[in-house]
Amino acid sequence: MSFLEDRKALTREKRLSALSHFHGTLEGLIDETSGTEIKQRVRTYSQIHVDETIYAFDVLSKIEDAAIIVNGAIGCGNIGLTQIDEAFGWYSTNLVERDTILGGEDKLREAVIRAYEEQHPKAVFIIGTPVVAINNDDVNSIILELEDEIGIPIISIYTDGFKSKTPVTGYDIVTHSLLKYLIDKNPEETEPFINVISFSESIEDIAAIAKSLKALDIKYQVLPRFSSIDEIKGASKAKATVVLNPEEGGYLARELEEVYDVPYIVTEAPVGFRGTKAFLLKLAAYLKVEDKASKYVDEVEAELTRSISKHLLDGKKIFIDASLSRIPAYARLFTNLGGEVVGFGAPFVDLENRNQLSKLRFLSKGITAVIGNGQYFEKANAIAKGEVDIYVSEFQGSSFASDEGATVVSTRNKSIYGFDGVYVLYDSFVKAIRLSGKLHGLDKGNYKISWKSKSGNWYVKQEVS
Amino acid sequence: MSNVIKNPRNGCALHGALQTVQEINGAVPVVHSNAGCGVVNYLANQRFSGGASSYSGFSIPGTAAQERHVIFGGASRLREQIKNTIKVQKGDLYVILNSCESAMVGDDVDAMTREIVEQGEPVVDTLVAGFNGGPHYGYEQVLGDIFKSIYEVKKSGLKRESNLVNIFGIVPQKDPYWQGNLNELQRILTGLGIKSNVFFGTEGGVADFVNAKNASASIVFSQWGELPAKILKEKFDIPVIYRSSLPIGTDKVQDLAEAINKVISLDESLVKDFLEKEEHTEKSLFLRVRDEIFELGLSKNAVIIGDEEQVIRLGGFLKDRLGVVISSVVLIDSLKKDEAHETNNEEELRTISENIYKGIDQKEIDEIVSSSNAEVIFGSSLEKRIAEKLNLPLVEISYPIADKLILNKADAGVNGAISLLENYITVVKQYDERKKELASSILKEVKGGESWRELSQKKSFLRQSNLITELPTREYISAQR
Repeated sequence: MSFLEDRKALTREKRLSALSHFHGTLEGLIDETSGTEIKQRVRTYSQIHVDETIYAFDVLSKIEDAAIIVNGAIGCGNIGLTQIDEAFGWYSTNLVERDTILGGEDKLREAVIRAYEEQHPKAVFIIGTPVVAINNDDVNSIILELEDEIGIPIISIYTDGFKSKTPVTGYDIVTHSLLKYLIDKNPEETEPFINVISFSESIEDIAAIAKSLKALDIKYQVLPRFSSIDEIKGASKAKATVVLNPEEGGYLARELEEVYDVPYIVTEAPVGFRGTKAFLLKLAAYLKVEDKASKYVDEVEAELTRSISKHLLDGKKIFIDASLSRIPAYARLFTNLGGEVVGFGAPFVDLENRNQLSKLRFLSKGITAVIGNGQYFEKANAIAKGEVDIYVSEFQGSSFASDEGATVVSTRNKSIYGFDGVYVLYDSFVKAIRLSGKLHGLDKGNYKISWKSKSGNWYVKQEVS
Repeated sequence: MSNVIKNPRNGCALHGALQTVQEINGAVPVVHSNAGCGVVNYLANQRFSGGASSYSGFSIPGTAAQERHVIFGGASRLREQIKNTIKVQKGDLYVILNSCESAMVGDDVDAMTREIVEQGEPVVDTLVAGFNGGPHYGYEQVLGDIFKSIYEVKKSGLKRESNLVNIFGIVPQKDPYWQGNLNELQRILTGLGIKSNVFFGTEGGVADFVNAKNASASIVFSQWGELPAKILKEKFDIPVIYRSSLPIGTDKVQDLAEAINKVISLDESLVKDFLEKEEHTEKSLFLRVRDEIFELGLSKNAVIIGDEEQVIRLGGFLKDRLGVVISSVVLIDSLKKDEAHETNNEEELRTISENIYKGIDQKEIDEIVSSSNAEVIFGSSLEKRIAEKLNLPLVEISYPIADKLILNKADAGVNGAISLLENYITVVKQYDERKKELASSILKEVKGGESWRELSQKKSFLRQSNLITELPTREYISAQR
């Protein structure tokens, strides 16, 4: 059933029962998430974390010919500083106390006109923030008033920062708006390319995938990240869609299939040897280029087998902190290199990505599972208790683990997708092991010993509705 | 200035308060807001200059308020969060920070803080919300609020120390060189026989706040340091020494020593010996680059974009010591109309430049730079694009400075004077080098694989060789205009 009839996207909690608060074992998590809906939990102690506004801004800022307005207090607009090395400009409506009382519609009107006149974009996105949501500013009337006047789509992104505990809702909100207001509803005919959906991947990761697609002679367009408004409009003309991270882009792919009959080729994330192989073979089977793909994969496999040692991680206990879609691929790779995965952390589990948990059944069922955005205090607890040697993290601020005695493998700023990504991960371990013990003792750590001796799920409680 | 802002560079009052508390060793910030408010500041700052403190980013405790807290109020969630923060996180002082959201909802943050303080826990709060102002305002307000309450939760005797001063007005992270500047200032004060509470960074901490009431003076180095100094004056009668900026160069250090001497009597011979030594170091290092100062023509026309304190300090130095003409300045920390401060530096600013602008809108700043006839820009990384467009060198001195690590480098004091000189000369040299490379590539293009003798016989070469000389010359003239 398509959700496009709704004015705005449902939160991940409402649409797919997303859970962002859990601390227990893999077995416990599988039990907890096996029903038709997942019971919500809360944390009575928490640390700050990203929200859907930040995710929405991040992906929209990578669309090359759009203008972005952050409709809120000036601090919310500060998020644009993360992008300043590119030829990128953005606007803040700079709402102050007076606007929280009288409304900020005039400033929004001024911002849209300025963005249009100064940047000549093909679309203007207005990102919502807490102040606007609480104040209930009438954004739509401004859009109606100005859209005719300036003649380009003005699109409201209904983020507010507090209605969802799952930041990936920000991607869903962007998806919903792109589908509803941009994507061509009556494509004339299918064209011979596929949509490659990317919401959070780096340009280096995209390049790694592009290398494999080129080897197989597959035409593609990447969207919505690193795309143009015209490319997004043309998504409904594609022959098929694949998604680089299914838990982020699955919503867009499914809706493209449901509403525009663009088939969604469901694959794993192209991480690790097996993940990438599965991704390419599935795609090749659909496009009927299996022979070419098998030959390519065999060549790469032979080269990989020659180049890497299967004993690199012998005797090492590993904790993985990553998007759940990629954890099975990481876990398989690290186990193949001789390591023992003793725990993992992921931002959320929902009714769709829970299938990843069954791919972890080759691990011990008693390994630690922490579900939460950030929440490093719980991960510090798990790392200390599990005597973890290596903490592998996709997220910022990972060095806290060294206070608990682990060395850190950070995948940030690295291209871990595709076959090349296997070498990158391997090399990251080699370098991290060299650092073992060298950065310990810089800080005494932020967490009290009494906390680390408590059960890690101490502050995770059932939500009382 | 417009209401709407293009490329806002500073953040909000919550961000200022948060990054101020983060840099106090032993203090734990607790953010009462939705999950992402504090993260925005972290992600923005992470791109820039100074590294991260122990309590930063995702390690910061916060209520991560949800819709139910907006509808029904978030005070009970805050109570739960404060109680559990004390159980989980190590800290000597817990500082509760408010947000737009809790201010709009009307949560009684103060009552929650009082409740836990009554149980003997070291907790203080500030009620400043994000939309109340910029980060400099947040710095000032959170310091004011800490000093209003800390002596109730951290009790100790009062014992005035005759040679101890408090340092206020340097906003952590908003001054990209804040850590180095604090260390340099402390080094200078030690040289003058003065001990100092610097509050932040490697040499500061909660103990400085406890000890601040024993100081014999508070020195305020920018308007943003006024409020905490004023509160300490009211509570403990600590005199305030107002300075419009940090000192830069030995002559300004001497001015500072004279100002301090009016309140705390300094050992004359110690001061004399110290200043002589500093002057010797400064002159010796200046001497080493005297050729460059002349040969690179450093007495250029410049525009400065920075905080008022930076503009006064760096502008004064560039003008007085290097003959730079400051055609325009843009103050990016300007006060709102209702933010009254004791000091008014308008007159001093006028001695630096005739054209003083206030604001942070990128379009307006770019227009000011374009019309300023500047040959060099002193600004932030946000000025890179206009610098490239106008083909001008850019010396990065103000927030944000991207992709350049600044951990303990100063641009104030005597060492700061030298490092400013290093930066300026490096940037100009690199710029000149790029111009030479451009001319050289044009020459290669025109000459191709042919010898001069072959070329000299061809009529077309005359036309092309004009191009060689013309282009660099045109560029030079445009740079000088």
